[in-house]
Amino acid sequence: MTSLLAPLYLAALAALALPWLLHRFNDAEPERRPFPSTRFLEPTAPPVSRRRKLRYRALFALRALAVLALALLFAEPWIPRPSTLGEARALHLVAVDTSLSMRAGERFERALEGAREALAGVPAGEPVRLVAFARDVRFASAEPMTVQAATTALGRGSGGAGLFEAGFAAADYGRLMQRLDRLADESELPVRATLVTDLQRSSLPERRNALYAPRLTSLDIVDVGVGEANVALAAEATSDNGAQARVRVTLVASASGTAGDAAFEREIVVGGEGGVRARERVRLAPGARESVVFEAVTLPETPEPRFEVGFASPDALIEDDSLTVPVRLDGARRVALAALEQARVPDAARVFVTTALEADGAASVDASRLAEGQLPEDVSRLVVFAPLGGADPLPTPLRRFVARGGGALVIVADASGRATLGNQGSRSSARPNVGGRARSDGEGSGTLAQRGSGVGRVDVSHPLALGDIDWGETRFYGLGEFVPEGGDRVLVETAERRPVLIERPSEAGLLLILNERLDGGDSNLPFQPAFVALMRQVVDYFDAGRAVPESVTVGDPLALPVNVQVIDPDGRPLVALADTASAQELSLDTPGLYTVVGALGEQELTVAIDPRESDLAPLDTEERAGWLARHASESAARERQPPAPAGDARDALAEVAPEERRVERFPLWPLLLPLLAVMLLAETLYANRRLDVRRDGT
Amino acid sequence: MARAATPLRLLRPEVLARLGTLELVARTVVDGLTTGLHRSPHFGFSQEFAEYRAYAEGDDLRHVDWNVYARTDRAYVKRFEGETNTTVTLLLDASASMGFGEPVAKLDQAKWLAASLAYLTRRQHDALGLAVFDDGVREMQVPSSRPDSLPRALGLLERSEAGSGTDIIAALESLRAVMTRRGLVVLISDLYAEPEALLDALQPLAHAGQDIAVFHVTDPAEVAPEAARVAALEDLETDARVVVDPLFLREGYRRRFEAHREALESTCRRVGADYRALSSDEPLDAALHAYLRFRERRGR
Repeated sequence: MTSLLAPLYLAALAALALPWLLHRFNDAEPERRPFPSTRFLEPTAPPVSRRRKLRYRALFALRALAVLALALLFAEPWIPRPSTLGEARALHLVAVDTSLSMRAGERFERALEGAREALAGVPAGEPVRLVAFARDVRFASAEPMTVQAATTALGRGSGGAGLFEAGFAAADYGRLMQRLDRLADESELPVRATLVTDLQRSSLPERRNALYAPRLTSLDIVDVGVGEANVALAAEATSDNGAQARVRVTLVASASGTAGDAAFEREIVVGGEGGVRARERVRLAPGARESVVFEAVTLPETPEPRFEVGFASPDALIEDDSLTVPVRLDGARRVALAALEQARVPDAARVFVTTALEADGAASVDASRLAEGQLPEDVSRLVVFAPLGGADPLPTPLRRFVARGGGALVIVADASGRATLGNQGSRSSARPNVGGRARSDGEGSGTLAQRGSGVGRVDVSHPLALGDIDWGETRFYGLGEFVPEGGDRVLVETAERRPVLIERPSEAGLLLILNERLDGGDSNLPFQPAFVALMRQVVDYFDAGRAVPESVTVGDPLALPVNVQVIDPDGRPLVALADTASAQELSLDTPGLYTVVGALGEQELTVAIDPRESDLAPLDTEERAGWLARHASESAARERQPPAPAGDARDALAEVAPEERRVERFPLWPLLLPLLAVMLLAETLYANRRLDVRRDGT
Repeated sequence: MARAATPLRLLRPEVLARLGTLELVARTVVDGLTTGLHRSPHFGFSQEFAEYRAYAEGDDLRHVDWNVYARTDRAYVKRFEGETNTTVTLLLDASASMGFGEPVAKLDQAKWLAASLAYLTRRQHDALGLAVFDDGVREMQVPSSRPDSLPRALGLLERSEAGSGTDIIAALESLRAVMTRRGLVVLISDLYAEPEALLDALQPLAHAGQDIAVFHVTDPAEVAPEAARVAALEDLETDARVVVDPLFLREGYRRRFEAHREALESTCRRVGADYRALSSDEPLDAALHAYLRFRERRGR
């Protein structure tokens, strides 16, 4: 028997009057026209008057049926048919935690067992959905399955496309519960959820409200955590001399356990090529965070020195017990000095730049290729002297370098063919003779040019943090001839609004232009502390602007620029060759030391586990009770509720008799719609044929 | 001296409709054509020698060329190319059906043609007659060579409006008694008559020595009517209403009309008449050229 979801639309059947009126009272009176003679005319059927019968009955029938079909279509008719859900009273949902913490001890085995037990408790014939959750929530099948099929899928474990095996990502109970709540909202049946998890406290969402899924009929939690003690290890190694390293190891103990427990005593071993380099025993308190520094650890004699840092004996979660630590060579932020072929590089400028960059070991300057007149291709940070003047376009090698993703600070230089600026021109007249310092001609007696111009506007919103630099005594006596273009961003300008530092936007790399020669004549900038700070921040800016970070957390999306390949710790490329031609987003699900290969060489990328997962401390009783209490009260309220009102179809479905639940609605619109289309088509053809409709463009 | 020809665009019906008076229309049309091309082919009494003819009894002795007689001892009469000596009678159908046509009605086009022919006739110093008829002869101006024959004819044309039904046969029969002088008879009509009956009506005129020219005036909307939907067409003459299907108008009607036209043309051929179809949207120069060729062929 057919039912209607929106019977009010049947009121549209009143529109049946329209075709009836159209056919009965249409403009049957033909157009009257004078004609010279009717002797050659042949009368056709006489026009229909209002008193006559309906004309074109078949057409009328078609139109009436079309209106009928249209009204029915909006009324959404459906017929009952046996439900594939049978006599199910609820949809049972079993969610298994597959986060990193589930790798601790026997947790995941217990979780699988708990899930099987939960499935065993599902009444026969009731549908089941299996869910694996960690960072994301993934369903084992698109549709509900039988208990038997779910048990089989669970039994496949790692063989089942890796869905039910513990991974490395962190769980998020808030995200899980909201997804389950949405599922319950979409389900025709009440949803009873069972979570099989270790109830890590660190997996709780910041906003606890996200834990509650009011649409779930019931929520059960199978706790598979046993409160193992765990200590997570993180480490970094730096070397400022290339021979020895400083290894800093940070240990974080789980927040559960008792102080003085031997379970929190660990021996840290620092190893490398050729064996153990250092070791130390540490005892932590629950929830404590300790740092151990190994000084002067001899570097392995490899081109890319790395240490293997770990515990002498593994604990509950072995994944966070050891890691490979690349040694960051301090001063290894190599900055190359270069000059374009035409540029004349003053010795003073080279000294000023090198000194400023290498101050406090912030960077090491490689000036060995300064005389080549070409830009090196194997560096990512470059200070380059280039003759830029007027509105000339940037030299091609420079543009190419930046397009490859490099960072370049261009210092405006004179062309090699030109005379020394100090001896000529208007700029020289404005410049002091010695040391770049403004010559003091007495109180207010010097000209503006002699006094120089201070720093005017500074773009404090730029990431270079130029506002943090004390520009106080900096004076500019003459500047380069570079003229910013429309898209350029002037970061520093003099009080007379002459540009000093300019950034030219680039899609790939970074390009800064310092519009002075740094020879001590254009300004006193090289002698100011501001210059050292500026150069350090430029290098920091170049590093911060690198497309690929040095470290990411498991599961975090990693945005890759064009023409970059990622090699996993086992040496396998992760980006298909064809995909390297475009920017990619990669999610690295396994921790380890990856290699990113790009146009400017290789870069190591550490994919670290989420430190929250290392904290195996479970929810305390109060927290757990608080979580479950609300669902319990929801369920109780639901059971006390009288039969649901007609408007709440889902609740009503839960209360109606099993005979009615065995059916599901089979919508008839897929049949009505093509039928309507056919009728409209037939109407068009018929009307064109029979009525006085112009055809063939006549 | 030939005068400059009027641009053809001036002869288009929509242009002529704005000229105002029939005389102006006639002058525009006729003067626009090549003046001098047309000469009356009839011999008469002018200064241009045409030929000698042997003297026959009854010839005026004043025309005998005595010099030839002296040399040959035979009497010859000199003949000269005359300016005129024929009679042109215009028969204009002013029935109701002739009032059909937009923007130029068939009757307007017919009147312009008649006026032009009248003007041309008088320029040739021919005698001009005019009859306006519908279901009978409504007005008649007997052929005359008097100078006022043209203004009177034009005035008669100006006054002519589409009247009632058509009866060409009856009109021709009643005119036959009046048209006693041999000459040219020009029938301008939409020819809603049975071809056989028309044959019967024209034959006596032909036998009486009249040269007949028939101008069949039509309108494009009459020859190829269009209708977007079923239309009730009302006969302008009988007020009869016929509901027709657009398909029939596009196919059956056109077929029938064309057959009628062909039958009329055949009828005209049978009586030696000259048939020329003239559409109300057609410039008059072609019709006038046809008329002139007709006169040349007939030697009048």
